[in-house]
Amino acid sequence: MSIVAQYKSFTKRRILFILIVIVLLLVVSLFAIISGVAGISLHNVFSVAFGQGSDFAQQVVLKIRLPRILGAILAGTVLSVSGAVMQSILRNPLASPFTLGISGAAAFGAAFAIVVFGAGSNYSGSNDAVIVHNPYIVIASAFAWSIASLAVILLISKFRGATPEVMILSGIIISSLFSAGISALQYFANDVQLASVIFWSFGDLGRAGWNDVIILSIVLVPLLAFFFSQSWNYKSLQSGDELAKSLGVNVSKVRLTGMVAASLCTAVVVSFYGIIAFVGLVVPHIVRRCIGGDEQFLIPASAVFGGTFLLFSDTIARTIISPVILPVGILTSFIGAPLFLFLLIKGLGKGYWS
Amino acid sequence: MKIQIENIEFSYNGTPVLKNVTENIAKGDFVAIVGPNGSGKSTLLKCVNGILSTKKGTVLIDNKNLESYSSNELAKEIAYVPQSENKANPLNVFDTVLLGRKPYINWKPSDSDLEITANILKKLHLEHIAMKNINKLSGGQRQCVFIARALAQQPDVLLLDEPTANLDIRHQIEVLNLLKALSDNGHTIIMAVHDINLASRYCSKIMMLKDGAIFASGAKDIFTTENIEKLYDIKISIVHENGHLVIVPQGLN
Repeated sequence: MSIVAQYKSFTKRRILFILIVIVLLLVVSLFAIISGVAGISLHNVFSVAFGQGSDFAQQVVLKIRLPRILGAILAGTVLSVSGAVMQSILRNPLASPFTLGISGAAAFGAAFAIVVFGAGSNYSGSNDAVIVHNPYIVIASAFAWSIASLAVILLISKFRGATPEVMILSGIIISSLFSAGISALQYFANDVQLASVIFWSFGDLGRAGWNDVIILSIVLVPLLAFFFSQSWNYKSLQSGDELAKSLGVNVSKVRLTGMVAASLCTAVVVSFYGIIAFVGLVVPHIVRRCIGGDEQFLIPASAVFGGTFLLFSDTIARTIISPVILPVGILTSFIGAPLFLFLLIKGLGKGYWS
Repeated sequence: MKIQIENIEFSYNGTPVLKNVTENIAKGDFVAIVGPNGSGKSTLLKCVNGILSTKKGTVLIDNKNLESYSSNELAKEIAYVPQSENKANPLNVFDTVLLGRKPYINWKPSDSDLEITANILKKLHLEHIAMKNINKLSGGQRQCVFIARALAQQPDVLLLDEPTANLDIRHQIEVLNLLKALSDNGHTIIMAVHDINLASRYCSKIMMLKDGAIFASGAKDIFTTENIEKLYDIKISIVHENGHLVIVPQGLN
């Protein structure tokens, strides 16, 4: 077989992987829509899909399950693609959507809204949970503070150059500054506010509704198109700034636009759903293990795999100790951390991260 | 392509690295830049293809100012092989070489991009490792892959930063034979190199750099005992063998 034929079959395998994950996503979606305490069957789902079915089934499927499923897919896609892009442009396998301090900034923004603007309150629901009674102020504040932290990093890059080291170090410093800020806010908060702040920080897709799904899709579609169009630039950056320049890539522009785009869409997800850890870090690594590190395939594959991964995690979180619903952020950390360690140990000696 | 370097100056954070460097390089020249560590060899290479922009002076590529080329146009004319490359990138050899087609690819590599890549792999005898992960290769193979990637840009000019560093003598000869053949084919090649014996054996033109300035330049007859002793501040003797020279170190000055 000629090398070109070999390469083409390698490409086909990579496309096949993406197709298989898409099928898997559909299967998991069906599984997600029928699992839970409401006793919805596949038959109910199809009746609702054709405009029939009981009011109860319609309510559960259209108002609760569907937005939650779409929210999980969109959030997983955003976090995983942002992670893949960040790892490439910062040339760092530990980079994630949160590397630049987005999560810390968003959590501070939410705490700020709850404590200073009084946007939180106590509410006894079916799960006896504390909820935030004015979510839009909290979302707006979380988003605004994420953008502020991004602006600081861009400013530092302006002075010191947009190198991976400068960006990662400023991200770490900004994160710790915000966590100090959160501690200060918590110190001055009353019991109810404190509970709201802590509850907000658990990444939870229970907050998903049609509004945020629509906003997320509007943000996500152009950004994904942008990331796909940049995949050859990101691939060049992986081999070093100097080499990328010699291939005609405008290194600082590509890196800065990539950071801004990834941070923006992460900030939107975090503002709506809270901090969902490890998805953005682990998913690109799993995908790399399956199809290699070529960004042209890594980015779309991380997109579909990330959506599937988060939807699966959320469905488990909803059902594992039913009727109690766990926040998915807790579950992704429990799955993600051991998975990452496993990949790290298995990856050593395989020319991966060496 | 001919390259005219005119009075270029460069400094890193106020420390001058290149001072008033002027040199004419003709099409098909195989140039070695030699000189002590820190003399500005790598910096000079990077100024030739605009990875670093000079503070003063101009670089003319085929009588056209470097700055008037778009970055993509330039990438089709001049390829660069860096000295060392991080190994984090888990690409296979074919994908690595295909990356050299970047200036020609917008969104998806065409069949001709794949053909060109395959032909270069064939020419450099890398076919058997085409689907191997780049991180699993030996240093010599990896260097050949990086040169293959540079060739995939179909450039007229190749810039190489110490292409023989970290290679055993067999791989050094392999790489230099390859570069020599390319220059015989009309490619202009400029490499920074430490090994004077190899430079004098293979290169048609030598540039000696000392403290960021040209110390001497010309054909290999500038490799005299006096020049080398002054350039590195050492004591040597030179032995001639079949018209080639061998440096024998005698000690420090």
